[in-house]
Amino acid sequence: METVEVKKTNRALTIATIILSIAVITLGILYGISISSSIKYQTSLENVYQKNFYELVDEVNNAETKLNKILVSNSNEYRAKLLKEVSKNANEAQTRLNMLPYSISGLSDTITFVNKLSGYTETLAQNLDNGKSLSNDNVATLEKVHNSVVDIKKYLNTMSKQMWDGYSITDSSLKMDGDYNYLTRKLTAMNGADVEYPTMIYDGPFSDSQLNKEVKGLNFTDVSMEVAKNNLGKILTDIPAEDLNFSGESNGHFQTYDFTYQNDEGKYIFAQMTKKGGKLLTLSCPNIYNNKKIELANAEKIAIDFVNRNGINDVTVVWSDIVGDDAYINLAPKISGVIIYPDLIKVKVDLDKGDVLGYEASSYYMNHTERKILPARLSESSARQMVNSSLKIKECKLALIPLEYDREVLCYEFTCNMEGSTYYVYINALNGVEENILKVVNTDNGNLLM
Amino acid sequence: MKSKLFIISFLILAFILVGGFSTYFILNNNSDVVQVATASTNKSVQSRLKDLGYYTGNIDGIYGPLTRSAVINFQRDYGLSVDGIVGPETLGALGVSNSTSQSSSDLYLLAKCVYAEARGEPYVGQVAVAAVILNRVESPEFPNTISGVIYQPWAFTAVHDGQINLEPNDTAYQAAKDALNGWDPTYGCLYYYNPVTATSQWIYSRQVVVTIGKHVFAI
Repeated sequence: METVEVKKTNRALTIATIILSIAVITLGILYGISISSSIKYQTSLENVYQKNFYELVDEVNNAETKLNKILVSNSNEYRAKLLKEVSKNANEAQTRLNMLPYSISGLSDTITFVNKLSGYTETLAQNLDNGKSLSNDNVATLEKVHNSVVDIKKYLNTMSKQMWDGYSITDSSLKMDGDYNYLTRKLTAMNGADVEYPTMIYDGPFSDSQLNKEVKGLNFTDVSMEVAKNNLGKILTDIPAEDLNFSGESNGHFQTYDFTYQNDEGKYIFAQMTKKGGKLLTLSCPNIYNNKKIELANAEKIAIDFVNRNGINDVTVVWSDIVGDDAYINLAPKISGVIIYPDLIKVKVDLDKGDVLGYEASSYYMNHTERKILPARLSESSARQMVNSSLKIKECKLALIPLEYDREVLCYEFTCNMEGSTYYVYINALNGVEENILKVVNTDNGNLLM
Repeated sequence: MKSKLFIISFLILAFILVGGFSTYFILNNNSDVVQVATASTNKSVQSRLKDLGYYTGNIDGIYGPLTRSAVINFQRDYGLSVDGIVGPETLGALGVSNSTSQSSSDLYLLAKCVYAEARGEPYVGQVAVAAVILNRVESPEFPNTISGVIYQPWAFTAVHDGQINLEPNDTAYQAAKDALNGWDPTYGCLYYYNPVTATSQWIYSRQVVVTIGKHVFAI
């Protein structure tokens, strides 16, 4: 009787052991598969990082040599050619650098330097193309820039030797040391610790003058939050001022009082009023209706009324388009027959109830100022001659257009057609230069001007 | 006794297997990448084919058998190589321009990032997140393209952990569109963080511009 019991228990134990062994083996195999695939992923990721790194090294090495040549060259043409190449190298280097997994903001000095280097050399090359020479200041700056690039180059070349010895970018990017990962800590020597970055003064891409523009259109005294709130109530005719909630202040390029409004239907509005003068700067709210009842012409009227209520008069619609259930309407002031494009205001109108869902006047307040517009020196008919003859001109208007780096020029705006596409061609009304061409591009999300 | 032991060991085995398999699948369940980037192009193709009378189905952006047979018929009639694939040649013959999908893919990416990063936020908070991305494109401190900024390693948590692959909703699209149209409630901010969950000390050194919803926006 007892032996039978023992036998039974033994058999059961054997079965349990077999089953458990099978389970362990199966798990082991599954684990092995998952480890091996994760190693594969890691290797391909590491390969991408290393490719980017080595390309970065190449770009920096090339930029260094070319900068050096610029300093010893005596020909403006050759210098212009090299400056353009350096600009391209810097731009490529920036792209590669930004693909490496360092912690955000850990390398901002280096990235800024590389981007500015690209903008600076491009601007200098353009100056040379326009017949100017490099100033002594330019050359002195280029010398400093060259020194910094030499430092970066040395640093990167040391690191690439470490990578030959098996340094893994992926591994070091996954280990954290305080706010930054190991890779960032490794690269920070480049970020202003050992390398000094010179200031580059120019008017071009990424220049400081572009980043710190001054607000021209708000020459008013500060108002209190209550005044701003009342003004907003007057603009939003259907919402009484006391229903608006003050939600805080913004202190960016513009200083604003921020208000929100919410009703039971789910309507939500966020509006920002300038501290200077209590003007509506932006308003946004999502469209909660899905209907189209209002014609575009009526939506344009609603937009103009809204802009007028904010104290901006003499505006005209310069562009409008329906996207989904909303109308996007751009308006600009028109002064003695000239459209002032730099002072653009954007309004979004819901096509169901006719509510203004969006308002954006930061360009207007950034640029609006008393301007002295010189009369056109070129007649419309001679400007017409400057337009490519294969374009069919449909309309002509005088307009002040913004160009890069705070330039404003008076132009003839020709609306043209060719092979079913619409183009806007801008001919400078003073000297006949073709300043800009915009093409209307149809997309799934409405028309774009590109 | 025997059956009891058997059941127990069976349960253990089943438990281990289920556990093991599910861990394995959780570890390897990243293959869910839906091909949506071409949906907008597919929609334009379908609507062109519908205009021309080749396609009768819904314009849903899904390249199904109906679309395929419409494409094949179109290719046959227009003397193109008949393969049912919408390549550059077929797109050209249909008059669907490839350049348009370029700008929509920016919108799509932006909407995805907004949805992944800020779907619980008020509308303007979503516009603000999109605006920060666009401000970074302009800034010398960051990459110079929308995709470069969004996919910059370690830049956005939601990109890093894969939430970026969620399909954005209509609100996220609206917010992305508004930002592309120039709306920027943050006036040039380059950073935002949630003070409740932010782990980086560095971020607190930035100048705060505005708080919208749960996010603090800073320059």
